[in-house]
Amino acid sequence: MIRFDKVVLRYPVGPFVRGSIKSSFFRLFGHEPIDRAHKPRDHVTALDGLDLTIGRGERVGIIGRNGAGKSTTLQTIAGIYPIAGGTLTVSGKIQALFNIGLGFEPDATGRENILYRGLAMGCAPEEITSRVEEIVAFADIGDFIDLPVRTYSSGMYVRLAFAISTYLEGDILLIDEVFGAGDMVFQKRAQKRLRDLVNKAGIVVMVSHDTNLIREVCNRVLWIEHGHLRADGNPRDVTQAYIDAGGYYAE
Amino acid sequence: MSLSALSRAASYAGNTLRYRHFWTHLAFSDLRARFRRSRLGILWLALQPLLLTIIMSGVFIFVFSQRFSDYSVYLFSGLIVWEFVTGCFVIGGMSYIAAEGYVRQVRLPMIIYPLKSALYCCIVFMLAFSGFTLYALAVKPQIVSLHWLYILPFFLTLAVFGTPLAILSAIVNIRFRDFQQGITLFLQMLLYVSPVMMLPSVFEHRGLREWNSINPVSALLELFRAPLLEGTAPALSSYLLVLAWALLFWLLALALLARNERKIVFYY
Repeated sequence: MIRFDKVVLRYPVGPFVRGSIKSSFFRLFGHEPIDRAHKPRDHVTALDGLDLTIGRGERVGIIGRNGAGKSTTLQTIAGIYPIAGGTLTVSGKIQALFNIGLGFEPDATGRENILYRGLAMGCAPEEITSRVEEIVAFADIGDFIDLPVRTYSSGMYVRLAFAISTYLEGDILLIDEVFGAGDMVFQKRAQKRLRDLVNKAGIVVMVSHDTNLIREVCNRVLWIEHGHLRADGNPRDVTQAYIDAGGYYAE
Repeated sequence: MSLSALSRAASYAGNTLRYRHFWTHLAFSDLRARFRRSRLGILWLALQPLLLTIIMSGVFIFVFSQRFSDYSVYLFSGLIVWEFVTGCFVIGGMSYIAAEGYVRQVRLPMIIYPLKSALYCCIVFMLAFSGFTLYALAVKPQIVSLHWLYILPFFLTLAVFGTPLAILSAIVNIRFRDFQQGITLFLQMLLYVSPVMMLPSVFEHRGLREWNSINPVSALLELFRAPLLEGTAPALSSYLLVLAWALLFWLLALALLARNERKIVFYY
């Protein structure tokens, strides 16, 4: 179960805006690199009072423009960022599939990485070894499983990561735009796997720009904009509204 | 400390323990990755200090008027302890940078990444020590005695001393990348004012003596060398000095960790 109650999330941007030693030095000579009138904020509000409840068995898709706060929402569910306001309740074991290659040891083989990733998810070594063959079979990358993962294509990363995340016991699966890299055969198998997972009373939350994929896989869609929830409903309606509002809109 | 703070600390420690398979496996994985396409592999961990010892001894025996067998054993012992200390700072400092993939995907106690680095340095030390043992047996076998059992408490002390250094380095470095430059310089300076390659007699001079009496690296080296090279029990005062410094580092490390635990992700 996931519950956001007026959640506020801010990124500090101070470290990037404060400037370098070099610019401070030149400032001594009167050079003003930053216009005082437009002094940048020291933080960016990524989520602004987000209210949301997701229950077991839901396959939720999140859509929205770039920078709307979709990935941030996923990362907040995963507990990676501390929230600045509101309350967040997440119960269940989380498995995250963010950026391709994230959390892989590049010089270790696929098999070894199954172990490390599983351990990072909090699974016991015995649990992982008992499921390794299932994972290898689902990933279906042939002999590459025994080669270092830095030799993999992005599609293979996705297949392996997805196989690991879905074969190790978890309650909440978070997927951030990684589906694009998988081929069609994989996508079909992955979608079926997601449905099976959710039938075991899990939750799947996925971010995607592919509205067709969202319609195929999800039974609920959230449209996030500027850190708020703009729409929340069945996939067909929300994706249609999103497409209709689409293109370039001035705010 | 309030009850809720204590229970939070306990659950944090429990969590760290729960994920022990993860960070211990990663330490071994790092070691394997280091030597993945190398023919000599982990042999380098003993070979590198050995070769350095031989070369440096070739010159320093004239500086210190020592026999090669005596000085080289002295130097080898110094180099492997020194390697551990620098490792805690430098490899420790990279802990969060190297772990970006994990930090950004899964929430785990932040202490585990520097713990992994410290464990890595401990493994390296043990392997280098094996090389040292073989060298000592070859060159000066009379020093190998029952006193060598003191290596066990020494090793524990070393680990307790080095771990908070890794934690501090990891946190400071992720926030201020200058740390990496600064610490290399600091370590170079520390090398010359510690009895790693210099004989203890050098530190009997006025000025150096006072510094040497509070330098934890001196104490560590004394704890290591007394039983191994001289066949005497290590001084309690040295243990106390090292542990006092270790306590200070632990307090600093845990305080810094508590403050920065949730902010580290923003420093990438």
